[in-house]
Amino acid sequence: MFWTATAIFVCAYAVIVSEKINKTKVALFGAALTLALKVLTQHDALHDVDLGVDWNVIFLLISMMIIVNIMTKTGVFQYVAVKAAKLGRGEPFAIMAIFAVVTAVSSAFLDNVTTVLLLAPVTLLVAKELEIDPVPYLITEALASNIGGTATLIGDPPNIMIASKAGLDFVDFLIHLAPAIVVIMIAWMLCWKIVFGKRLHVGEKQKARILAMNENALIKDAKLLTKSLVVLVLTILGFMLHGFLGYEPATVALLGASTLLLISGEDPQKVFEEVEWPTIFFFMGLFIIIGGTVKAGLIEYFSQKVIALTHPTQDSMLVLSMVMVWFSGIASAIVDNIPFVATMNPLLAELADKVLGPATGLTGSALYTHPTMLPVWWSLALGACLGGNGTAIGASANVIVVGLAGKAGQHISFGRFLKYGAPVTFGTIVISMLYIYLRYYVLGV
Amino acid sequence: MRIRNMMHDSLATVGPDVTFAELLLAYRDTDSRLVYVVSPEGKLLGVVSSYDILRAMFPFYLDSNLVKALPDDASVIRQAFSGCKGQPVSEIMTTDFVAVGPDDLFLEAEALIAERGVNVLPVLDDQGKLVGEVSRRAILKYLAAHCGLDAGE
Repeated sequence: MFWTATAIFVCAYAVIVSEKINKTKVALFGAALTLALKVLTQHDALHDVDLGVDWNVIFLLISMMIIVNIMTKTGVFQYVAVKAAKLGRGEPFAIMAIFAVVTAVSSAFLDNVTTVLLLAPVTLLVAKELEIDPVPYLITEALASNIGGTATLIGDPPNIMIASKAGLDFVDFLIHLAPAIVVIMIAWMLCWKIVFGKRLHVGEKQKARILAMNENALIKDAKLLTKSLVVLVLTILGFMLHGFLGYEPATVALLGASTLLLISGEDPQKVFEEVEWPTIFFFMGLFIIIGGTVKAGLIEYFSQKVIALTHPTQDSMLVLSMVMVWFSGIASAIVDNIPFVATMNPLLAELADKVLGPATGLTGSALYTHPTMLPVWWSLALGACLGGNGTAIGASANVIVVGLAGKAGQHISFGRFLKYGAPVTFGTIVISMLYIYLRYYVLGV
Repeated sequence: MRIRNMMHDSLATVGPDVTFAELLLAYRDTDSRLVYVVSPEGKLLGVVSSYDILRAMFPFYLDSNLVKALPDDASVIRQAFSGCKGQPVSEIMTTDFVAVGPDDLFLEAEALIAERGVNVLPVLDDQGKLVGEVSRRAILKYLAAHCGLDAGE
């Protein structure tokens, strides 16, 4: 069974990385093989949270997609983007920085790809009106969406997965990751000011065109917008309180999504058509493949190797945390961070069992969120989310902007993206490492 | 009834090397819904409809809602046109067109038009050379003239 599970895992990973076959097809076929070859029983795959599909992740993703899909119909995202451009008074760098902040904040609460897809058309229009190259703007937005998404539990799929595995709540992410992201955003924008501040110039006529735009005309359905905003705010409030109230995040999201569906009057057929089912099924397949490797002992084997290499103790996992930031960052620039985190999650859980389990007598979430273990999860989250900025294929948002720029006649080569992405990734990973080191191993807060 | 009886043969044709601007001129001067792109030997390479022309010129990132934010569209249209006026027709034309032969049955043209939701079909000879076109309008006119409506049947 060990070798069967390992073979399925290695082959699936290799094919996903090669991008020769659609990743959802690969993950589902791998999952089917895991079941057909009896590595896992169907009961394991569908009902055991440690071996099979993590329904908390699945329902959180679907619910958030439903809320965003309904909100998109109101025109609010176009409104915000045009408003942001006008706020920049037509100054090209100011617009770039404001777009970056808007993207980061939106991505912290909504899906990164959706955020970029909604902002890119307005970005292209604004660049056209200013008669400047849209490419730096589009790349900045992709980078900002990956950075902003790191700040919250719901911002990026790796965080959703980590939260669910370790039993961390929304407020934990806000307290531990959001400060790092604020520091990173400020440092990044200062660097960007040096790089782009002097390079971007436009005439007064072009600036006037931006200021003459009318954002108010973009709200298509004010009634639906009010309903959506009320539900979104209540949902975010629910996320803030879910740990306190004893709900899983998916319960809060499901309550929000179903309420909005109920009161919006939208046709569910149309709303559900827009849910990204291939992504959802990619997750399901992946959970089952990884579950097979957990049951077969492959993950345990890896965790022993990691322990031997980094010598974590029940008092400190400093080396492991530092290695985790860099390893996750580099790995996520090359492979999709979703399968990466799906693999690392059970590995770290296994490691916590071995290193902390016997001494503390704790199990499950209490063990995983032990103060010695926490910085390791934050290192994984920071590395995995920020590493996605490294290359044009490191994160879905990057792939989307490269595609959109190509459609607009501006080809972004792998190298051109790397010129922006690699230094930003390096810088943000360095800041993350310092943040983890100073906060958890020097200051101990 | 054969297609050659109802096809038109005065068509707007351009070579594969013409630009968007020249294409637009050709479209202006024809009564047909299509401009045909033909090789020097007269073989049909592709067709260009009004939809293809608008799609080439219209920025893909604008939708009917986003347009509402613009105070006026002069600069967008000017830039869109200057961006695509040098574009070769080969990038604009549709190459997966369906065609009929002059000796095919009239009913085949009618069925193809209905199935594909198109207005016009090019008519090609055995060598793939363009010899005419048959349109929905031409079919209806032919039917009206030949179904004996005038005789009150």
